[in-house]
Amino acid sequence: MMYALIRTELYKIAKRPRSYIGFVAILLIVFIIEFALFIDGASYIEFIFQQLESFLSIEGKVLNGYLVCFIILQTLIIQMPLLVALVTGDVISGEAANGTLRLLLTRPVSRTEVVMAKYIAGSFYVLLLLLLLGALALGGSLLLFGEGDLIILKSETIIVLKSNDVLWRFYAAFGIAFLSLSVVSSFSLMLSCFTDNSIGPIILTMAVIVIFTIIGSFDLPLFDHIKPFLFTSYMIVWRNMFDQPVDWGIMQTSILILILHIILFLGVSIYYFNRKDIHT
Amino acid sequence: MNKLLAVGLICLSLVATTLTGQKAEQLVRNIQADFKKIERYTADLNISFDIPYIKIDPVKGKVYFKQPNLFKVKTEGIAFMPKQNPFYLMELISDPESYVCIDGGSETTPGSIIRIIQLVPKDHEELILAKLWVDAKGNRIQKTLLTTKTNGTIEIKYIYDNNPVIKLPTSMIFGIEVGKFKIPKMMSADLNSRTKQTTSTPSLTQGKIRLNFSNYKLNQDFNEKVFNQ
Amino acid sequence: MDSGMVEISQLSKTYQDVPAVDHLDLIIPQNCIYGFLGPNGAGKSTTLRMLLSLISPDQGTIKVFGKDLKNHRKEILSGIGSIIEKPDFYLYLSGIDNLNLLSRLSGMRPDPKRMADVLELVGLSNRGNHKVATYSHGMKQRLGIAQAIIHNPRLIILDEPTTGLDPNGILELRQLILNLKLDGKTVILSSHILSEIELIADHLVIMNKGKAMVQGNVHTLLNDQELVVLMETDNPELAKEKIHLYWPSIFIQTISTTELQCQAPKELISEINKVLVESGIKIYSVYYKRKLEDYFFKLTGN
Repeated sequence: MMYALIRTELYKIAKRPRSYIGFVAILLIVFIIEFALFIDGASYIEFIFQQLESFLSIEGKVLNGYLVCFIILQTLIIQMPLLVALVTGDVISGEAANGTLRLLLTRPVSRTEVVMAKYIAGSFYVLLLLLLLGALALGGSLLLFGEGDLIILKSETIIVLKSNDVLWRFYAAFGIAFLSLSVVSSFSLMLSCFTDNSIGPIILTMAVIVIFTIIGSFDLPLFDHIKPFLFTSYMIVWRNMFDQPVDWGIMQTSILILILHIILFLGVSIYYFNRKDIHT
Repeated sequence: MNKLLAVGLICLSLVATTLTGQKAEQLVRNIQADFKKIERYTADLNISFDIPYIKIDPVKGKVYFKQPNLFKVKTEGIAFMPKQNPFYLMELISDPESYVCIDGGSETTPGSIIRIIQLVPKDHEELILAKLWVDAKGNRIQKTLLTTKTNGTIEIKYIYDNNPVIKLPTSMIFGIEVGKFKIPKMMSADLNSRTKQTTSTPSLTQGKIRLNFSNYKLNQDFNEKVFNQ
Repeated sequence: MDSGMVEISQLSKTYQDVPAVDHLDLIIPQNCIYGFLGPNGAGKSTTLRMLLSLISPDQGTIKVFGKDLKNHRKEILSGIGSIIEKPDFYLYLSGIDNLNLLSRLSGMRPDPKRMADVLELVGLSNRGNHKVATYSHGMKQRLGIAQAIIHNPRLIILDEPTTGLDPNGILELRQLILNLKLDGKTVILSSHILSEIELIADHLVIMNKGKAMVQGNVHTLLNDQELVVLMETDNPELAKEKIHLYWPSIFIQTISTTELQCQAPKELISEINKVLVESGIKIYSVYYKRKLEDYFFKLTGN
């Protein structure tokens, strides 16, 4: 029955017009950035490095496909979770509001199966979004700008990664991004269980992500105590794949914490949903 | 009597200075003469970096040179190079009338005597002052300290092998001053990072770029379009 | 109590200290049409939702097909088809897509012939491929019936199934329900249209304030009651006097200047008619007011 449920959920996602907003948004954002950098990338690079170039001159192909891809991924830190929440935020509450939840739950399916099927279908949607992003951001950028060493700019450090040492890092980064977005998916699904309002969980998920990200960006001592408990603090760990050397300790810890968050959110969803009275 | 002695001493020092200055100038001319024999060259390059705030692995490349000062480094990847052109010096000493040569004394090292020579350009577009440490025995520059108008001061150390034919260095070590630089926040890859940045390093600090040369090809033709790229 | 298709025992559900269902005991026999009646807020929907495990009871047990619902939920639900309240579907999918989706979840393999048969049965053959968003309320109701029966369930629960249907549709639905019973199925029918229940139900329960006021075989329950007859005459007052002359205990009341209502055993009605006609009183029409209506109002205090 799980297979039938997952198939059903995927079919519903595919048939819903809203599901395509994410794909269109990614297409537009990537196209705009690639186009802008293609036209004006040289002067943009010059602007970024102007302070450094008072000491050193930079040889080699700085503006290449890997850098453009990295810039695109940086830009989408906020947008991707919102695009995911748009679809996964009302997988249960939306059906409750529309009355189709009782249609679903009067079938011989367990509520746990329903939650898991919706999560799995949501994860598949996330995967498709990331595949599209990968194809456009990485594939498209490499086609337009070619290969080269990747220069990573931190606030006070520069890391240069050899071109033959970059691709696997992007693959790993996308893998971690998938995990991060799965946390968003499970979080929004959890909120969706608590209410019969279609739009509430979507907005609440977006608000939580924005607020947590803002808290994470402030270097205040008070916030430093809070940051370790915010799941958004671990969602950006994909960038650590571009450190030299990669701190595998931080990576492992962050991945574990993300997985634990998924388990927690799904656990709460299953617990609550199994006990919820369906009045709609 | 005392006045006579003073005048005598002054005249003696002037003569000595002129004589030793002439010796320094001759040394410079010898170096220039040796260098002039090489119309052009290429060499394989391996660049390694020891620059604060920058993590970068050694980079391979190729260097191209043509008299008097056309110099191009082509790397296989991204590399950081000093802003100053090291061949300003050779350009300067190619014309003896373009500089004033001052003897700065000498240092003794095991097996050789190092002459310190200061060259003051009379009218160079970029170079303000060049200080040379020259191995008098081998007529080879061991170290230079170049002060430029727009790019500050750079120290260059030269390392040679015992090749009697190629008197070009096997390594050049550039000592540069690097300051802390700021990247626009949105471009920063550690935006919202949980790991704290250490800020204990001083704002201006020394870094090194080492160019290792190998496989010199002297006076062989190459495509000069490389200097325009 | 005898075992039945559905056995409900001491079922209770309370919302904010108000009992929606209050220690309900119910047995729904097999292969019958079971009427679920009660005013608004009587607890009918809550009971049906608990029967479908949409709501969990505070106490009590529910057995369906002889099995406890709590422990055999999936197995039981695979044998139930239902419409609860208004029929809601995935509006962005077609009628056929909705049915395919739901039948698959009921454990049914895709069967185009069955699909076509069911759509024809509910009168949606030519609209199956259209998005549900384009359906009228009546069409959605028909689709609702289709999804309730497509997987051939043993027990069918229909909550207000005639809402939105035109008279033809109501007639077709009535016939469908009777055919389902003939097929050996059990149908629970919750409706406000008492005449419908009276026409087709074999058993019924009348609920009020969360309790079952009465339950049992329809004919047994209603035959205990007298017929209520409405007569249209030219002189209701005279007619009332004449009836009271012969049958002083019969309850008669004048409703209007031309109508009177009397309550009498069925076998007396023709006698009453004869006496009135022989007395010269003109009788324009005689018809039976639905007994169930009166019975219902009497029980529920409306």
